[in-house]
Amino acid sequence: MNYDLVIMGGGVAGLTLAQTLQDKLEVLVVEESSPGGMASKLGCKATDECLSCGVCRFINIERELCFKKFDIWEGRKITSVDKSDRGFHLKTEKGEKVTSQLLAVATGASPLEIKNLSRWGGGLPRVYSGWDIERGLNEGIISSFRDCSSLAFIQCAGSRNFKEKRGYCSQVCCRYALRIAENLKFSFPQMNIDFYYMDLQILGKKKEKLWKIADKINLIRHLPYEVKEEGGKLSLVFEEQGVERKSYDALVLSVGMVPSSGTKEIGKWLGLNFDSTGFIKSYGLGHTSCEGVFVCGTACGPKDIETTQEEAQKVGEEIWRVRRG
Amino acid sequence: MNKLLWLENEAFSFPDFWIEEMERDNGWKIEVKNWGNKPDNFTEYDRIFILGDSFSFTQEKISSLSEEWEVNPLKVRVFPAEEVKIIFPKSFLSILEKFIIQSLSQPLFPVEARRVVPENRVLVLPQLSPALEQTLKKRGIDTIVPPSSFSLQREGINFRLYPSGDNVGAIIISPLEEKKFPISFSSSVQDTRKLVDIEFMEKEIEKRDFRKETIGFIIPKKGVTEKEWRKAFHLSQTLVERDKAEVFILVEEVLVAGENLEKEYRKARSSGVIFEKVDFSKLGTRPTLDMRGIEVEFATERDKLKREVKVDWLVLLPERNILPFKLAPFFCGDKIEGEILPLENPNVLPFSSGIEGIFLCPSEKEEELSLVIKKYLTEGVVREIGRGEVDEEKCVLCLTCLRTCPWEAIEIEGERKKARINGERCHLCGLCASFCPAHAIEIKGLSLENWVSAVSLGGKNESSSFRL
Repeated sequence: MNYDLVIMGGGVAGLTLAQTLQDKLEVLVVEESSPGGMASKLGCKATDECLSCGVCRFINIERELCFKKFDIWEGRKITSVDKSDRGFHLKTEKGEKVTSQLLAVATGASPLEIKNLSRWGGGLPRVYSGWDIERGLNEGIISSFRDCSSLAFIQCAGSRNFKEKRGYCSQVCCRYALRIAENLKFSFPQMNIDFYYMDLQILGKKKEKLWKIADKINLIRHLPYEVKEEGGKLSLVFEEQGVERKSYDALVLSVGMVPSSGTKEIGKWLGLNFDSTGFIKSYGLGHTSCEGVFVCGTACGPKDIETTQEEAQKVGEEIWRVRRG
Repeated sequence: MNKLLWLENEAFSFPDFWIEEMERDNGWKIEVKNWGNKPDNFTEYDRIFILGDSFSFTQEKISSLSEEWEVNPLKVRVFPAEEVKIIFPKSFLSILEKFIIQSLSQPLFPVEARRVVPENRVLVLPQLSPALEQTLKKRGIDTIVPPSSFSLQREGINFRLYPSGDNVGAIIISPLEEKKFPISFSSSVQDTRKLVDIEFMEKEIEKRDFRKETIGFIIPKKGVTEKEWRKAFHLSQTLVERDKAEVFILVEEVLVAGENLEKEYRKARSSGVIFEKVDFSKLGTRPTLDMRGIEVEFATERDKLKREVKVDWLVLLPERNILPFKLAPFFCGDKIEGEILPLENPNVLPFSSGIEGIFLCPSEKEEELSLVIKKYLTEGVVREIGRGEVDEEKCVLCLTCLRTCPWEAIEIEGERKKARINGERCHLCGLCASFCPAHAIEIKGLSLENWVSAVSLGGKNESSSFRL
């Protein structure tokens, strides 16, 4: 089968890109599981007002899927990618072969597993990752914090850490953590929320509202040293004037994004340049080190949903420009 | 004989056993098609049924589909697929039959789905910035510079600008910004003329050398944009690397959550720029004795020790606060009140305000905004003309509808001065119909009873009390 463009990954970036180009090119989206990616698992974070988390932006993409003019292959894993004069040749697990002129990598990122963060109590009961809460919002995870009187957020858990080769800011964690904190405060005003952080990364749209939320909670500019379970409570060690200890009923580790396994794999097959953080290097407007291969979305660095969508539209314009010659 | 079309999706489809039976009993002719092999001509069918989820097939979607197929939108009906799952299979057939019979019994009014495309011209208020003008020009959109005094009125989907009489398709509000700084400086410090903004520094660095000088930056946390942080990182790095100057950056927070912004921060820091997190409330300044520099006193957050640095230049990045812009004074009609706020809603285009055709431009998002505007101006919207009708005999001209309509679709027209609904603006919300004390307004085909009685009540109740 021949296509003008094969998009690898059917998340927000891949689907937006496909929708931008569906009238102009023959487009195929190959998705490992089901379309939607990471955004489809997140929940709306509105309290009595909209906090502009942007998760609902995915709804429109999903709705438009009903009227799509491009093809989607669901539940198919790509096993090999080769390049020749005629274009790129892809093979899937089920033995299907596709040839395409251009390739777009939108394989995205994945949240860091908190099992790896044993230093901060990853794996202990009542230690949640920010993504666990995001995913549980639709099922009402907020109400399970009813009996918590104190709760702490630990920001940059796993991000901005050079020792573990993740010396980058994941850009979304401060904002989603503040929104979750606002949700908790809204449901349980008596709850004492501490926020351990390095810098509050609030840039972009609606930053005024987020700064207001930040003023409501206790900000502590320290990264805790370790977390231990003591007498049913989580005891947290950090350094302010001297070594201090504080215990909490629950802990939220705001984990960042790491390149997904698909991103690493496909980047290796195509011989793309990676940047020092493990994401695919983008040379502006989605161009990569390999001609004819474009990258968009979180495969080339952490982004929020809105930026991902905007970027995908821009990359779509660029691909059309390249194709037209 | 009624000719019916049944459109199915890949995700939802029924087995075909029901068709024969139903055709025989009722004398219909049912054609079952998939979305992949849609017929070319839709006009020959009496009714078009879509099996789909009502989440995807919204009112707007049905309008645009009927526009595409050139059929009366009242002919197109959606059988809610998500309801089908919970209906007991045996009762399903009778429900489906009831649904079709009810749909066929509905009178067909002459309604046309029409694509209304706005004028390819925008008005930018209150001021057109060069960046926005450039990107709009790149995408082939004309811009109008607002005259010193003007008024606006709705003209169908467009807005008419008076006194020139030009039509504009959309209005972009790019709000003015107010620059403020969290710290105040005494007049003697300002007299040194060493307090400068970043634009000044950018120009100056090209002209002269800052060798052996000390330069301080003060950057507040709120209201500084990504672009300005980028500028500050870049500028400080050049000062250190090119001129071997000493650079202090005093901040509350270092913001790096932007595309490649963190790399630039690290580059600046490794080149020798000193970043200090300080408490701005304890920051003091005074001029040096020779009035050629400024002494800055601060306590770092790290060890809380007081320090004093003599700087030759102090570069300030102000907090930018958006000044609200009120459109109401320029608008003929009383529907637009107060501030216009951005709307976060997946059902509308990004950057939309609550009012159709009015967009808000956040700073540094000109490129994205022009993409959205281009889409809106070329695709337009689909409206169903002829749905709303006012019974002139009943209308008493109480103007309730005029006041209720959120879209300004009611016009008072004609020799006898009666209310009329402008189809190009009407969004079929039905507010006017529900508020009309004389029951003079009817929105045709807008009633829930069509499928509520058929599906939820299992077809038992002939007349349902559900009515909009």
